[in-house]
Amino acid sequence: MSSPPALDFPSSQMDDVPMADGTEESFPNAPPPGNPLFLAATPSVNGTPSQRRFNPAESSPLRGATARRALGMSTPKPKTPLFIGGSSSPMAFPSSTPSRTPQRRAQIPSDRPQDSDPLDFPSTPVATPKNRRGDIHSSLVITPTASLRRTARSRTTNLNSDASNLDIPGSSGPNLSAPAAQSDEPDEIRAIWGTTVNLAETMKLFKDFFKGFKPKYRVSHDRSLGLQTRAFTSPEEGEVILYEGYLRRMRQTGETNLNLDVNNLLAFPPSKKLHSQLVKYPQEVIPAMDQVLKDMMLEIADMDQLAGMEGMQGDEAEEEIADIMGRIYKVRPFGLPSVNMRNLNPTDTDKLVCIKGLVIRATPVIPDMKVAFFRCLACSHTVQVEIDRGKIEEPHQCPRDVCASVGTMNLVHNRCEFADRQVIRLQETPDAVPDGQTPHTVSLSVYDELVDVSKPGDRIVVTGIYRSVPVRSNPRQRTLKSLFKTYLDVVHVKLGAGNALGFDKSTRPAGGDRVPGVGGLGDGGDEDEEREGRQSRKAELEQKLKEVSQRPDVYSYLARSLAPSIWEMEDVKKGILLQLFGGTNKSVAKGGGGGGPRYRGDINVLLVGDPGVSKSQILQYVHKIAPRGVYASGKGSSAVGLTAYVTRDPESKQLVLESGALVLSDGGVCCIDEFDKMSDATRSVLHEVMEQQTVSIAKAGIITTLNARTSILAAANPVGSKYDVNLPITRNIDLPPTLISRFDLLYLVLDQVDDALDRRLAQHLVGLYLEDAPTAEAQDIMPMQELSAYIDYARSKIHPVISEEAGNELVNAYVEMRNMGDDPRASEKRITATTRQLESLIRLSEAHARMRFSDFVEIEDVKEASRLMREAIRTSAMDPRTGKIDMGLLNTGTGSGQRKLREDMRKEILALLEGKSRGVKWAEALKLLGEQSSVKVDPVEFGEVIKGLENEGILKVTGEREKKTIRKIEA
Amino acid sequence: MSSNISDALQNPSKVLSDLYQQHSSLPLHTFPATVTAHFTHIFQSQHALEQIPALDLHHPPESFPPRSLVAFNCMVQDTSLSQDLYLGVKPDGSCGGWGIEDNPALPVADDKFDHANLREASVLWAVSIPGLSDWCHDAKAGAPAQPPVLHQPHKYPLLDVAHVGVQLKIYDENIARPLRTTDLLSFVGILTSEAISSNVIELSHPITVPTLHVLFATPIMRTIIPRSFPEPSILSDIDSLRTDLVDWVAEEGLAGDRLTAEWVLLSAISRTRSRQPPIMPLSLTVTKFPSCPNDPNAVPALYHVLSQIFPLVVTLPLALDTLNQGAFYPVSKDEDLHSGFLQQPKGSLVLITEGAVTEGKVLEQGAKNFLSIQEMMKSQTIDYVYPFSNFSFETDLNFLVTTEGKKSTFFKTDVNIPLRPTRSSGLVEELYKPIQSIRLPPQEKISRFRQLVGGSKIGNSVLAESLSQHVEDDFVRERATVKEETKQFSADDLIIRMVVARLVAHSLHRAEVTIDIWERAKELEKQRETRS
Repeated sequence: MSSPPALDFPSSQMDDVPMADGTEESFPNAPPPGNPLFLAATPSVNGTPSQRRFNPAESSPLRGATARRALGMSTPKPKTPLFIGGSSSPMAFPSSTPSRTPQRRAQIPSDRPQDSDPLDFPSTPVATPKNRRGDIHSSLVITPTASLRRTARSRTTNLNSDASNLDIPGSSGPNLSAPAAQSDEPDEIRAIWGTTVNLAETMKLFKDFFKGFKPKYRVSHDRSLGLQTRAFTSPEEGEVILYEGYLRRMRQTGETNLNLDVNNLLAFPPSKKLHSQLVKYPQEVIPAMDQVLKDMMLEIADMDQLAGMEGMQGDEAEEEIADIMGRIYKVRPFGLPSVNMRNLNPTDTDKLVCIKGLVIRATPVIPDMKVAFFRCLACSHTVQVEIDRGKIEEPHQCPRDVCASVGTMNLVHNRCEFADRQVIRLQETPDAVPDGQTPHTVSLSVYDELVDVSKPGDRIVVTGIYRSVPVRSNPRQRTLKSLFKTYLDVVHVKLGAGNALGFDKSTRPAGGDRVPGVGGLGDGGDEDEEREGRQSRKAELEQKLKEVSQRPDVYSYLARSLAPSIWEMEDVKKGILLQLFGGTNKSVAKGGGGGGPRYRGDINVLLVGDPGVSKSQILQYVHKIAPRGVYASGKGSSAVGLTAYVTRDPESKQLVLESGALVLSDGGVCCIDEFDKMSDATRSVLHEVMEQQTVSIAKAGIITTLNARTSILAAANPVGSKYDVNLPITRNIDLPPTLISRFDLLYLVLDQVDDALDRRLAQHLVGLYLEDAPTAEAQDIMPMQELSAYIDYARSKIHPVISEEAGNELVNAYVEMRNMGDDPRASEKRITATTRQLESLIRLSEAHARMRFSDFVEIEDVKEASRLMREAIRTSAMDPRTGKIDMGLLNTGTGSGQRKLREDMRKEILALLEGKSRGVKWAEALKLLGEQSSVKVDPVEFGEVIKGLENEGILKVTGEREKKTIRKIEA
Repeated sequence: MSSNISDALQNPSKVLSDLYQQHSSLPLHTFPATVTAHFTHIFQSQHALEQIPALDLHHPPESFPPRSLVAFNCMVQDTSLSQDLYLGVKPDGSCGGWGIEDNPALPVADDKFDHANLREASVLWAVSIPGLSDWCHDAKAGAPAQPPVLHQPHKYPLLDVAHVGVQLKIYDENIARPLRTTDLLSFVGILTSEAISSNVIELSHPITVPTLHVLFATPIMRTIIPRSFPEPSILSDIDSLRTDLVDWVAEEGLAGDRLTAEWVLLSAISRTRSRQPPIMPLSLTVTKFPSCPNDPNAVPALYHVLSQIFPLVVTLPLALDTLNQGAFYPVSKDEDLHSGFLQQPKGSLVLITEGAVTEGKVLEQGAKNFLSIQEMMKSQTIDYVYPFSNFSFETDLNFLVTTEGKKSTFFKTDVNIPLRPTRSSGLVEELYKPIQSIRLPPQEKISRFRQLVGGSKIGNSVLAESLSQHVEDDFVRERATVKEETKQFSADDLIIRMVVARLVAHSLHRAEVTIDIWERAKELEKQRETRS
């Protein structure tokens, strides 16, 4: 029989141990009561398992046994260093009992637990820690066991301890093959009431788990479930005894909570059934685990002491062990698959469940009375009563036989013991709510270390015990009706992380507010997240996204999934798609000491076009799928914190709405509709945003610069609402050329009349809108959420690097683009591309690589990027006069053809003014010029030329309006 | 059978208990479905249903003795309340739930109950149907005797309007599960008064509210009164009936403007046909609609006219104050879902008047409010605001905006039409005349009007074979011809024209969109365009 000693406390022995033994034992060794006046009379709760009183099953032998076991909390006392350092010979005391379990695990079968007579229990120290977990309400209290052996062992013979040391690890070996070996042990007397669960066995299994679990079990378990596993860096990594390490760390850090991933229980073959026991009877099993944990803590401390580990020598070790004795250890299980909170039902009552949600409200800390302190008004006898199932029974009469006065027991508040408690309201997250339903909420009760761990707004995963308890009906109500309420007693909280909607880590003080506990959580960071059962969904999604990225037509597939209801405009969609992926942000680390200049990775797109070509629809769509998208337009904005004004338009005398401030989001896409109607002041901010990626704000005497890494998607209508194809684009859009040049891609979306195209469009629309049961065309498109997830994933995970070939290709593409303006016949050189275009090219190539989930920018990425650029340039930078592409149009507002024209006009004007010292009237000059010229003289051009001449100091313009006169300044 | 009915009417609790005893051998979880089936069966005939006393403003909850059987026609307002736990079997073996009181002699001891007998009941909040026109329910005369006691008035979409609000407890999961907010149903159950089931953590003094323990429920269609399309009884003279209807609306509500009246009707009978591609109800702005100088909040006569023929009509007089105060969309405050004006049942017609809008600042709340209306016009969804997250719900409301200017100050609607009254004197008085001054057509005529619009609202039509070619040709031609004008005929214009054509077909109870209907729609558009 490989039964380790821990299990080895047959009940008969315990029963045999007289109650007095335990107390007597502690007697001489106990410290003199520090405050005898009060303490002497005060029975320790530890010796008073009052909760048994209410248990209807007390009469049953099963119950009785557990009850007796429950009393033993006072027993750790003897193991305090006081005792150890004391004179009592340790030798004597193992020998006094044949069993290895000394009688110090005293059981006090008291049936009137609360009426401790001060005479009998004068010195039981109140300070002995007692595990009173608010989350458990357990009916079980279990005595530490191993620690006793430890004392004995360490003090007596090495042989003894060696034996037990050998014993214990040895047991885990065979267990692997024969997990249920102990199940037939006829020890039902300590079974959990109403079940066949043998508690002693449970404790032993758990101990075996602690001593035997190695990461390799988990890996093979995960593999068998088809989950992704992490490769060990070395074979030894899989072989470490995981929990021993955790326990050591707990001792070193003074942490008292151990987070236990229940999947590890499943993964370790001998402890498999612990998992289901834990889920079904958490109330009984968790305290048992707590106990085992404490035992193990002591055992390991002992082991380390023997091994002479650093920090565990001599007095230090004794101190450490004493500390451990004085602490309460808690096991916090987690890792169950979470269920939807609306699927919790009464059958889950008192079971361990796991739910996810959003904290919407948390009460302040509520002091929760754990032990009530009563004093008899007549004889000053004091009694402590423990909380039981959330209630404290007030003694109605003085328990002292001599006094026994009725109704004299008085609560003394400042002698009661309190624990922290907090009630949290947890709401379903939008993704968990069935379509069209409103979210549900549940109450959570959190205790002690878990109080204030989560804040409103956090997404958390909680593991807890589901409770349904009757509540007192309103006494004012006439009718009597039983009411119940449900809530969760939380044993473990995990703060949501990873996804975009998790809490912002930067808002929390560094390390200030961690979920308490060692083990699993907080140790491995992301890895834990992955491991934690939840991975299935996340991994599934990832898998799916990767599959999509492998499609040969992924580019066109994603492009057509973008705003599928919009007809054609493929290149525009592709450009916007790449904008959503974005290039990589770069900063020159070398030379600048890390603080070198930053190059933006954000791609800005401008759509210019006729009204009614679905520009707004595209913007709206992008706003919906883009991370942190903001939509603004001349009509208003979706941004929060926005105000607007209703004013009377001075011209039309109509009430119109004027939008207020533009709100930008750092790291998002800002969609600006009716860009041309935006006020100059607002637009001027964008200059800075689009190139420097910052916003400067001056308020209350403070000037500050904020990051605004925002890509801009803007849509503008041409001047006069219809695009005039005979004018250059700068004349069609009422935007400063400096701003236009900051857009990487500029698309002209023109509403061109074309019979064939129109007919196809009409067909498409008729099919869509006039058929009776309109069905979205059964085309292969990606749903919006998925597209959003895809982009999100790519943006956060993929950071492509430009490969060498791609670099060369970029150079070629740039040179080619610059040469586009080369016309051997032209006397002057047009500017077709500038370095700005090169930067755009790089960003677009990166975005394209990102879109394919590729870690490198390759030639094909550059090719597509340059194709897109060329397309965009072709439509936007074409000089209508010459039909040639000229980036100068966008960069300076004038194309080379126009510049030539102006030069001619300038000459003519000067010739006109020659000899006319009194000057020429503006209108007349214009007229004269028109008569001379073969082409129509554009008044705007004329004005520009005059302005130029004026600036040069050659001309002077005087007068206003009709009286405006141009005069040459005589040198 | 009739004794069954009278038993159920007189003592529903006893019927329930007896039913439980008969079925006590069956598993407990099947009992709620048994109850639903049993009571549905008893009241299966229309006649029997009508015998159940109605819970409404005229018969407020206080007027019924406890545990009466009542029927409540209502709109579900809130489905996010915590579920109620009850003991399915009392300690004495009798039926639990449905608000049946405990036997005081056998109180449920704190832990002496079997968790296996605990059952869940869904708790909802329901309110009288907002905007329900008088003619839809038994017009039994006049205003209620005394002002009703308002329970939880913040859970009703309309401010300061008398209504009945009731807490529903639904035991049969099959009834509760499909329920959504703004659904219209008639719940039949046992009326009691109970503490409010609150999401609030600890309520020291629970409020008592009327509570209906639901036995069974029947859905109410969005036309409130069943309609058919096409309606055979009006088909014979549908053209003249439609003309009469347009004339009457124009005469009484729009100072004789027949074209506007026709557009108003077409807009009002539209509905969401598809969300992908989006085919939403046609929103309409009547521009150049004078405001009432004496009382900017005056309700236009158009509202009274429309509520005579449409079952669900509400009006929203927009002003900066109303816009900036309070949310138009439902908001969850302290885990209690407060209603907002826009929480209306599907099929409602919303008349927004901008007459009271003045110059001034629109605050954040105001901006959110008009944006939520705009969003509803465009995509027929509304966001309920919960802490840290918004939940989007589908709606289906028709929007009609009246404004003084050339276009609405706040909203972009599908169609704008300027009002051209046929008379100029006393125009404002005419447009804002009180309900008493509206001349109603004979009862028989008006009920035919209602049949016409009700049927149109649920209409379905198919495309005539030849039409699609015709539409395509039209489109190509039109784009080629109107080149010189500033605005080109665009795809969006075509979409609206197609929607209008379908509505014209529906308004004529025609199940097919033919070329002549297409031409008629075009004509309507042309007339409208020449005005602006």
